[in-house]
Amino acid sequence: MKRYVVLIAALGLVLSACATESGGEAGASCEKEDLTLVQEGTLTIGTDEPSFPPWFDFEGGPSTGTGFESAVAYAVAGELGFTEDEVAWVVVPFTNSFAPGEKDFDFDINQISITDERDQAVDFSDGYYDVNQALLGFTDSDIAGATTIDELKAYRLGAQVGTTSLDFITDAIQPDTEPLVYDTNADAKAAFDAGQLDGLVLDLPTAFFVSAVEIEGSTVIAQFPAAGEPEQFGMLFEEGNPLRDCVNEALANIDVDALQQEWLSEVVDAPVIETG
Amino acid sequence: MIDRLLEVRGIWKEFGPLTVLADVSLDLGTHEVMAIVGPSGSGKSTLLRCINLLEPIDDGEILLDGVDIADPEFDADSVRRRIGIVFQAFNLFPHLSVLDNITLAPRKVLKMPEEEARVAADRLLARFDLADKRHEYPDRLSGGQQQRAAIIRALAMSPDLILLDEPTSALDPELVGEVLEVIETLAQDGMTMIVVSHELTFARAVADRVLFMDEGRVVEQGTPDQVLTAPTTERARRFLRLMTDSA
Amino acid sequence: MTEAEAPQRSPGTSPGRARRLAFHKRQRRRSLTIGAISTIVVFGTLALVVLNSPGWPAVQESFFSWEHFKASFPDILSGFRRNVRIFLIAEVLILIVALVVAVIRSSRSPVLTPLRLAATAYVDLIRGIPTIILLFLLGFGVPALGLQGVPNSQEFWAITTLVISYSAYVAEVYRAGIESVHESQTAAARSLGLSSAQSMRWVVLPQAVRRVIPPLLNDFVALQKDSALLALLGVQEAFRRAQIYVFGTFNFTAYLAAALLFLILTVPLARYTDYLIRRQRERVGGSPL
Repeated sequence: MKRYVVLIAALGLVLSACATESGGEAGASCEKEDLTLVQEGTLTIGTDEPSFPPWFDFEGGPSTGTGFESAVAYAVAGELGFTEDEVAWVVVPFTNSFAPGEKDFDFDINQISITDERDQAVDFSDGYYDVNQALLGFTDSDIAGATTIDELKAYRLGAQVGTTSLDFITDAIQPDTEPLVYDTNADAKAAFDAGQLDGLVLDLPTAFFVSAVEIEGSTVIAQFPAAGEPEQFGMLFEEGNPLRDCVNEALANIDVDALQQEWLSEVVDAPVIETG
Repeated sequence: MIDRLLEVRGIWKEFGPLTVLADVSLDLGTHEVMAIVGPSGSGKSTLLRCINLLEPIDDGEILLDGVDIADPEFDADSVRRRIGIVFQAFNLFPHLSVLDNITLAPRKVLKMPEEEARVAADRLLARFDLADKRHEYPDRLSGGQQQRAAIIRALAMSPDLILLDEPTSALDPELVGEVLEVIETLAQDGMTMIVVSHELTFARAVADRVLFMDEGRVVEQGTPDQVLTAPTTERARRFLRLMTDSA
Repeated sequence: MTEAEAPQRSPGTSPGRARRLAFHKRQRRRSLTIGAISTIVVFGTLALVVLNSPGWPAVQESFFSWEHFKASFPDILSGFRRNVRIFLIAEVLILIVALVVAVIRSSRSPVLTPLRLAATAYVDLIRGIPTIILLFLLGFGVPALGLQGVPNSQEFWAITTLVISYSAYVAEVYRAGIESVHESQTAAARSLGLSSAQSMRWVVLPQAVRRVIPPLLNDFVALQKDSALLALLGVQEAFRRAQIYVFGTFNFTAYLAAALLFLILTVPLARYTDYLIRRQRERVGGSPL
C-alpha cells in the first residue's frame, strides 16, 4: 500500500512539473535560455528566396539587416537576447510557410498576412504592419485610367496562389475573366512583363518597388484599403509554439513605427480605391 | 539469232578486303532460263543482287538490251521494274494482304488504276492456285504459298527478266514442289529467268544453261548435261559429289 | 463383332481423356481459388492495418475527405477541360512533327543533308533541356520580346512547348521503329521499282508505326500529365484549381481529386496499350502468353 502511495505521489510531482513547463499561458519564461528553439542557442528565422526590397536586401539576402522586415526581425532577436551572430536564416518558400505541420524555423517573416484560415494551421504574432493591396499596371494602358472597383472587372488580372492578393481579386473585384494564378510572384511579374496580364495585385510596398525598380513603364495604379479590419502582416509560428508569446512581448517593446518610417516611407502616393 | 537480253561483262565486287565477285561474265537471251549452282559463299546471291542493282558493282558492265544499267548515272529505279527478283526469305509485306502485296507496285510505279491492277492480280492468283488466299495476310500462309505469292508479286510488274535467289531453300521439303511447279510453268510460258538453286534435278529439267560458280568466279558454263552430268573441272566435280551424296 | 473403326478425327471419349479433362478442370479451379484467397488475405490485411493505425483518421481527413472532395471537384473538373484540350491538340501535332523529323533523319538523300543536320541537332538539344525551362523561355520570354505577330496566349505557348519537347522524343521512337523494319523489306520494295520515298511511305512506315504504337501510347500518357505545366503560365487548369482550394482550406483532398481525373484517362489507356502489345505478339506468330 505504502509503495503505491509513494508512486502516485511521485507521478503527481512529475505531472505538476510538466504542467508548469508546458503551455505558455501564465508565467512562461522568455529568458533566452528557456526559449523553445529549433536549434539550441540560435534564433532560426525563415523567409523566401530571393528576398525583395523594401522588406529585405536583394543582393545580400535577409541577414544584412537592410529592409523593413529584416530590421524588425533583428530588433525582435535583440529583444529576446540574441546577438546578430546568433541569428540564422533558412529559406522557406512563401507557399510552404503557412501549411500545417512541423516547422524547421522558429518563426517566418515574409509579408504573410494574418487570416483566420491560416490561423487554423499555424500561429501568428501580433501584426507588425497594416497592409493595403495594390494594383500594378502599365502607365500607358487602359487599366491605368480605372478609378472604381467595377471598372477593374473587365481586365485580365493576376496574383500569386494562396495569397490574400488573389483572395482580393476573387472576392472584392470579381473580374469577368478568371484571374491568372502563379506559383511565385516572380512568375507573375514575368507574365505581367510579357503583356499577358493587364494588372497584377500585390501588397502596396512590393507593388511600389516593382514599379520603381523592376519593371519599366509600370506604376501603382491604385491601392485598396481593407473594407473592415485592416489586413496585417504577422510573424508565423508552428502551431502551439510558446515562442510566439515571447515574440509578442518583444514586438511590444520595439518602435515599429520608427522602422516603418525608415524603410517604408517612400511608399505613398497611389490613388485610393475604396472597396467598401 | 537470239537477242542478248542481258549481258554481264567482267564484273567485280568487293566487300572490304573480301572479293565476292571476280571477273564474272554471262549472257542471257530472251526466253532463256539459266541456273546458277555452287557452294555457299560463291557469290551467287551477290551476283543476282548486282544484276538487280540492289548492290553497286566495283567494275565491269551490266547491259540490259544493250544499255549499261550499272552506270552510276543511270536511273536505277526505272530498271528495277524490268527485272523482278524473288528472295529466299519471300520478303512479302506483312502489313498488306496478298492482293495488296501484288498490286502495290503496279499501282504506284506503273500508275495502273486500282481496278485494272486487281483484275490482273486475280488472274495470276487463279493461275497459280492462290485465289482463295487473296485477302489473307502473309503470316497466315504456308511457306510455299508465300513464295508463290512472292513470285506472283514479281510477275505483276511484267518484268523482262526474273531472278530467283534460292527460292526453295527456306521451305520445308514437302512445300518445295509447289514452288518448283510454278517456276516450271513460268519457264514454259517463256519467262526469261536466272535461278540460283540447290535443286539440281530441277535445274537439269528446267534450265537451258547452267553456270557453276565457286569463290566468286564462273568456273563452268554450259548445258545442264555438260555442267551437271560431266563437269570438266575438279571443283565442279567435287561439288556435285557432295550434293549427290547428301541427297 | 469386329470393330472397324475409322481413324479418329478428334480426341475420343476414352477414360484417359476424361481423367485428363477432370484434372485440368480441378487445376484451374484450384488456381482461381488460391489466387482469390491470397489476394483477399494480402489486401485485406493491408487494409485492416492501415485503417486501424492511429494516424489513419488524420490522414483520412486530410487526404480523403468526402466533404472536401465534393466541394472542390466541380471547379477542378471544369479546369480539367483545359488540360484535355491542350494535350489533345498537342498530341496530334506531335505525331506529325515527330514523324517528319524521323523520316528526315532516316533519309540518305544528299539534298536533305542540311535538314538532316538540323533534325539531329534539334533532337539532341531538346532532349537535354528540361521541359519546364523551355516553357518559361517560350511562355514568358518570347512574349516579353514584344515582336509583331507573336501570339501571347498561354494555351498557345503551352502547346508549342509540349510539341517542341515531345516531338524530339517521339521522333526517336519513330526512328527506332523505322530501323527495326528489316532492310529486306526495303530491298523487296526497291526491287519492285518503288522509289526510295515510295518504299518509305508504303512499306517501311506502315510497319514501323504499327510496331511503335505501345511506346507512342506511353508517351501520350506522359503528355497528358505534363498538360499540368499549363498552370505555370497562370492558367487555372485542374492542378491549379486544386491548389487554390488546398491553400484556402489546408485540406489536401483536392489534389487527390485532380489526380483522380488524370488517372481516369491514363489507366484505361495503359491497359489498352498492354492489350495491343499482347495482340502484336500473337500476330507475329508467338503463342498468346
